[in-house]
Amino acid sequence: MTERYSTLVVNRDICTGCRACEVACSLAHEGCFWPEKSRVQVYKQEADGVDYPVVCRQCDEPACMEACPAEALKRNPKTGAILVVEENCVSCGACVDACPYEGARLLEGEDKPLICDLCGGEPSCVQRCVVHALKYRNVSGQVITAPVQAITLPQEKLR
Amino acid sequence: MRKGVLHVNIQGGYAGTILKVDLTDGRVAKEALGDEIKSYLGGRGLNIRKLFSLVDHHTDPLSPQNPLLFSAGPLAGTMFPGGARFNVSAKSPHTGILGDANAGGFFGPELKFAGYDQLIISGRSVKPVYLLITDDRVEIRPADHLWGRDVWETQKALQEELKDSRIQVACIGPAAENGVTFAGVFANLVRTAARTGMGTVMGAKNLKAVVVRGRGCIPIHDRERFQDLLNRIDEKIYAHSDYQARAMMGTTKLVNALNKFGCLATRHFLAGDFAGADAVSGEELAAQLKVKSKACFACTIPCSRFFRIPSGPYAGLASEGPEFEGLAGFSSRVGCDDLGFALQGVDDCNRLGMDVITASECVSFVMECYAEGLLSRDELDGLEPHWGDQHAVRELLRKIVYREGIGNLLARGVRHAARELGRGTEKLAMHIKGLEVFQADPRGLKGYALGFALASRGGDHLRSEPSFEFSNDPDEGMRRYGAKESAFRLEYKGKGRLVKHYEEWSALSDCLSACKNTIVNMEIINFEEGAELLQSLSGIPFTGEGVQQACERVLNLERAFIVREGIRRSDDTLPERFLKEPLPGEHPSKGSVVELEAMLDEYYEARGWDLNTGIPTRETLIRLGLEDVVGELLAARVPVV
Repeated sequence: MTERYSTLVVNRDICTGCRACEVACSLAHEGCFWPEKSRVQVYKQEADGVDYPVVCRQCDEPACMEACPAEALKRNPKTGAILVVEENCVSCGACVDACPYEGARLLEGEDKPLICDLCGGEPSCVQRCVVHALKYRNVSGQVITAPVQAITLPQEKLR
Repeated sequence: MRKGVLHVNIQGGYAGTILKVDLTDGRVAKEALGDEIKSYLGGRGLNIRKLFSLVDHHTDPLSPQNPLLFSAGPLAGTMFPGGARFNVSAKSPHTGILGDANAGGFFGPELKFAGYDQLIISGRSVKPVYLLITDDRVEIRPADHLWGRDVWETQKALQEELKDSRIQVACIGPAAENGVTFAGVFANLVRTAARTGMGTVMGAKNLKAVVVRGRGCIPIHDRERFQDLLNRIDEKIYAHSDYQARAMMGTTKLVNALNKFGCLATRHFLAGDFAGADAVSGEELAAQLKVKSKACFACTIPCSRFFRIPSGPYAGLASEGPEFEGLAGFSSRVGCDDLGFALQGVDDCNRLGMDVITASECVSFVMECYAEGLLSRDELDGLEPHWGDQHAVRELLRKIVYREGIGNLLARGVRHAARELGRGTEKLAMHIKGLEVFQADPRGLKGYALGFALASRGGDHLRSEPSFEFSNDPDEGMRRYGAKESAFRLEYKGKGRLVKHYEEWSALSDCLSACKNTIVNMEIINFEEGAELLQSLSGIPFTGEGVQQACERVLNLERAFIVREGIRRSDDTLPERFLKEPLPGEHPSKGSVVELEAMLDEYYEARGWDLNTGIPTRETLIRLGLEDVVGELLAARVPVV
């Protein structure tokens, strides 16, 4: 049996495009409001109402880990999240090129890639996604969401 | 990459820099944000402080001497829900007084991430240009290829040209290029700083767009404290009785809500109840056409929506939006109960780049003039704009933008059109100080009526929005405003103090650049909590009292601005219909008119303004630290006593 990993579950159809996930991620990792450095990035086509959170999928067989020449990517033993071992990383960008989902980014002027680490098992982005376009499925298969759910489409009660 | 180096006194929240661009000579300058933020907070407050000094009563709004100010306050770009906004200010080419408009979306935060709290654009370019701000780099680029394109085409072309979908574009459409005086500044296609013609000022500068890409951060002084405050704010929002309705419908819920009170502007305010309201309501929009919720930057109250019309004459129309103002503007106000059409009317205004409130007033004004025989078919270029005539509405919108025939007359708003036309049309022009009123009938909303009459940018609801008058809570009314009546929309007593308070509360929201729906209407933060947030972000020791006083200062400075332009008490009034014609219909506001004078007295007294003239007294201005303003006003021969 293969090992089970936790992951973020993305539903692009209901994403509001607010980018609260980006702000939360940057606050958790950088200690300030810094969407550019967020591990999750919301791509948009405003004219078509497309809002698409892009983030590491924590693949079962990660192309990034395979591509890394320096053993700088390893799994968090608790969550299975792919972590960057900074002292090993040689900033070659092979992981970024290998990822088919644009889940890893290497910013201009920075030397380490940005990859979602699932905040050690309590993803901060999920807590601010009130429409539940981002959910967290942990190793035991439990699904965790924001503490509230905004009703976004009509229900009988409202009519 | 910038990591947010601020000067020693400001540790976060703010970006720390004011950017100045002169389009005449191409000069770019940057200066550190100064102590004025302690007195004016940011956003709208920072804009009026600068604008008051940069122009005066001689300045021609369409001249290079009129600057255009963009400002994003200290909550923009933070995790505060709805910290998404920006203000655009200049002297208004539409009203001749204060021009100021506000929009949400993503532009305001991006300006902050690029490192700027305020952008001051002066001068005029000879040729069409756009401004590209990428963090520290500022370029003025040619925009000949964009001139003439609509708002949506412009944003798309810029995203393609710059090969970056994360740029934020604030641009103008053909309305602004053609000098329509109520053209807006549009961000994220539909997020509009709509009122008072700020897009028109941009057009007069030959500035097609401001494009921003900010890759820096906004630091936080005390992260733990901020997080604690945010947790409390979150709890309040999530537990709010309105939360789910707002997530579902946003402001579009007002169509049905106001209709029930008999306060929904119907056929140009000839009625307050609209038989077709259900068909064009927020509920109907959510049930039939909504695809999903949408939200501004980092907002946890997704009050906007993306819709798509699947069938019928407007099949294929898809967009984010609209707000109540547009939805009612192109339905009840023009007497049309076709939801698809209302959305199309809003879309026309969005793409062509003009204010839906003023545009729908222009159209409904013409409809009433036509119905009354004050405008003939010949004068209307062959149009016969009966109530609800969809073709006529769209044609009038197009004619306004391209200044054709009757459209040319309407392109400066209804005050101008009625003055030109004469023959009694002046009474039908629904404006205050030259700015057209929105789609709520103030006859059944006495506090709103007072707010309209007083608003510093002319006929406007967003300067006060005294929603407490819907509360029906007499004890709270007594506690807050010293009058039980203040809690009831049809009563008068206490409304002066109510409006004063809500004006300052709304100013708080505009100065911080966070959403008024959140801060004011949902009552999520007061002045004390605002001060705590500001302190946790910036490290500056703000107090609740100090923040309230800053808002009061902003209101007084705006008043001083319009007083310098000649505004007096006699201008703080309403269109005659609201004062004299009892509201018809069978509904809870039946027979109402607005009795304004006693409310005005109470208001001026609460403000410390002269009862006879409506001019802030010397004592009031000095109490607020506005000694220089006293001098300015006296120099302009304003009788300050």
